[in-house]
Amino acid sequence: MNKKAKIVGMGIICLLMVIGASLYAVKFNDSRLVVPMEQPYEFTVKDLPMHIAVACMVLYVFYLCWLDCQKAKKDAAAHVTRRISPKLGIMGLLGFLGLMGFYTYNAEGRVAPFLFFLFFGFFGFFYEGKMSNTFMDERYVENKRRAQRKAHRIAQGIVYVTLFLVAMAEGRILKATDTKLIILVIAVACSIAVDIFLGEYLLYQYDHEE
Amino acid sequence: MPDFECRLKKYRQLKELTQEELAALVGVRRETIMRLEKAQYNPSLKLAVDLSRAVEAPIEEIFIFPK
Repeated sequence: MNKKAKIVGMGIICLLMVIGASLYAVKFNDSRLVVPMEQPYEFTVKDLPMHIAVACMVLYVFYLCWLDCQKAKKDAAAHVTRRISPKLGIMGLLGFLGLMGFYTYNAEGRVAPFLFFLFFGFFGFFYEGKMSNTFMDERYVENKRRAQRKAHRIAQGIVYVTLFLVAMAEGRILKATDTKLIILVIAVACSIAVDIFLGEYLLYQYDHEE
Repeated sequence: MPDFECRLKKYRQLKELTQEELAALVGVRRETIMRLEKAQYNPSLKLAVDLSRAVEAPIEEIFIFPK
């Protein structure tokens, strides 16, 4: 069995343990630790399966992070870009979850979901994936600096323009503090997304321009 | 766009090196050699010296900048 299959297998085992522990809790432990508990938490032996399953899952996630760090270190030492699939760019679609903010603000007054807009930056994985495992020579490093400089400038521009517009509109168009907060949260999330995406997109363009 | 003439291709072919081989010799990607030959990339002094040594030609004969 190769290493990748072992890692995936460990993940499946951890997931099955959590599912098993949840089923056990629902059937034999009054759904403790599965549904929100009203009383302060007190340990019972029947909670043990859930604790063990969650601990295994947490350890597994830490193990994945450790593996990723090792891989990144190895790639950096070899002066090559990290190896990722362009397919990960699809994670950028998570940015649309930011639209949930309009619902949660109206229903519960929460603005935090607007932060999901920053996931639009993950569309940059598409271009990072295309430049995956590339030797980082001086031209690559120069292009990367150039791309990041431009991306930072555009992202900063979005924040400055929004701040300016919000400040100018204060008291005339924008009266509610909540509205200003929403606009600023969206602007900051979008500027981070633009920064992440453009950094990769421009690098790819500069690398392939004639 | 850098404004210079690059004769790297001529000297590389004289040494019977492929772009890939020259790239490996000086520690850059083949694409960088390609851009250099088209005078689309202005190399660092270190890379220019490495290229000059690899193709055994003086820097001023590989990269010709107008006065």
